Amino acid sequence: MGAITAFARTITTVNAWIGRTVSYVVLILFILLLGDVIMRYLTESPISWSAQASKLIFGVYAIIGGGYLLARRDHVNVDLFYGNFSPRKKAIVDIATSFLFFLFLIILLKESFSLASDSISRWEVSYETTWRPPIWPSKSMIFVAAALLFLQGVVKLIADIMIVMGLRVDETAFGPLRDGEGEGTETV
Amino acid sequence: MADVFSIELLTVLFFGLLFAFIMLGVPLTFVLGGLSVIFLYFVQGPIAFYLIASKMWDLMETSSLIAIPLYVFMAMLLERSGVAHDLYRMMHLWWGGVRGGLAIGTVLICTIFAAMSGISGAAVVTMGTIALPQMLQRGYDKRLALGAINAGGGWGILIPPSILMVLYALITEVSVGKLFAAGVGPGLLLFALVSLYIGIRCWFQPQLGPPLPADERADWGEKLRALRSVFLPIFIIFIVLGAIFGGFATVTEAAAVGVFGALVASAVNRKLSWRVVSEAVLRTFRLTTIITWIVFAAHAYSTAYTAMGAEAFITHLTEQIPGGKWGALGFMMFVLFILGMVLDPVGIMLITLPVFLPLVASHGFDPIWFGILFVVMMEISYMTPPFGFNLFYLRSVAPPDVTMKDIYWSVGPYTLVELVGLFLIVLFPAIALWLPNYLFSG
Repeated sequence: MGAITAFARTITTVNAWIGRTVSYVVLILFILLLGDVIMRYLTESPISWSAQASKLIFGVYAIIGGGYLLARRDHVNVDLFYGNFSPRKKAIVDIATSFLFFLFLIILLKESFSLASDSISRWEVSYETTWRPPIWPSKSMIFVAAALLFLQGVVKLIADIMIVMGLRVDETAFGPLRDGEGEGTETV
Repeated sequence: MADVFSIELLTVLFFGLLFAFIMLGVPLTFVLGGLSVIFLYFVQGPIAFYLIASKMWDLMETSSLIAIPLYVFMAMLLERSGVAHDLYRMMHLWWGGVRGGLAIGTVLICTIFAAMSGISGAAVVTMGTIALPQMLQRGYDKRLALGAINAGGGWGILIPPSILMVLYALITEVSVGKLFAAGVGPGLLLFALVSLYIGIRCWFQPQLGPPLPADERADWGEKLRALRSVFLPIFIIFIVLGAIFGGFATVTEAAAVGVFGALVASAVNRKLSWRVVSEAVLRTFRLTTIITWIVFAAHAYSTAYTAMGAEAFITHLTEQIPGGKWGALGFMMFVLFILGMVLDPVGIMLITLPVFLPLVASHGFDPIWFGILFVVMMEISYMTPPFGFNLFYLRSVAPPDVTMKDIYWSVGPYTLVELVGLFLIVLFPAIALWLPNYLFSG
């Protein structure tokens, strides 16, 4: 039991740390794009690499937090009936429907692995502009993001099984993670 | 494999399972992702699975999506910037003496806020915190006040900038700038209709929205001094929309300019601190990730949908709807209204657009005009029970004597008013299309 909890705690902690750290990347995107506009009008020489760099950075920013969201149970779902279920009933439904998650993630892991290994084997760069940035790091991050989400999904499944078996689930290890500050409006 | 099942059966299964799993509370991303894997397997075999990862990479490389975190960040900063507080004080001084004036002023602030913000939630929370207690304390009818915030709070996605429009433009390949411009007229129309409704009701039933007693009203000096509060919002709206409509910057770059404006506004109001910024970046990251994962999974889903050949079947099916093109439009709006009661707008958009767009094209509707109708329906979906986000935001900030029942009942008349607005935009497409045609005619 201790080993499982330790495993769960490791995954959840890593995802929480990634979420908090990567969240600051929006400041980099802001500076890159604002800098581009300012340079274009003030010095009439736009930063040629800024648009491309911001795309590569955004790509990682957009996907890497999937596991962090799952640790917080933040992926959007419909609560119409689910919200009224008991914790045990929720766990049973989640186990029964978890095949959707695992089908999606296993295929994504497999396909993103071949995408990444192909890209890394050629040290792929972008030919979009004269600046030829390596794009293999960004591309490989699909696999990393999928792996982080997959592992958090395994942790969630274990937690659900423990709930059904009537065992006590340590929320700090299995989630839902509550990293406290900054709760509020979170929809479009 | 496809010959095992008829297209009719596949389509029914595809949508039937989609809604069954969504109703079971499975996160939308995993329903969309999981079902695409299953249907891609049955329609094209495992060879098609590479699409799931490669489509994800395509989206990561889409520069218009970078606008999403930036507009979200801008809204999160503005929410804490104190701008709404000053606006409310100004409005209180100017409108307090009129019957229903505080409620009309509140929807006016919602309109200004919507022009600074690309999302809807921020205005509901801000106005629910600032304006609601004030209105209730002054003897305003609970439902009138709640409904005003509910309705006005949703305009963030209709009045530019708008994240939902960024996504709509991405899927339909129309110009985001034109779509933004097309949102201006309908946004002002809804503001006018809702204000008119409040004004007329309070004129005949002053007990719903009593004017402030004469001794509490402000003198002209005070009123004019309070006008300073509109400088910062106008500055932000001017730099963001000016940059887009004037052709000085892309929608994504304008978002960065808007973040700059929001930081300036916070600094001027002495609300800027590292804590505010770090909270805002974390909430931005969460919301952006929620959206992007749905978008990624939905991309796989629409690939599967197209691969199945369900398009021809659905088109054939809708030809059975009586009333020709207007029947089809009415049907689509009805579907959106029903979905709006239970699903979130991003989800609704990504699920329905692959089905709707061929119909829009085959009936010869303008995709920009249709986009505006779509967004108005999503605006209504924010406030229709049982699951409108505005309802929950309002519940979370309202005083304890406001019940969920009050909030539910408050939206009835406002929903009707907004449906009237929708009908007017259908009758007079120019309400939406005159500005984009004027700005981008060249």
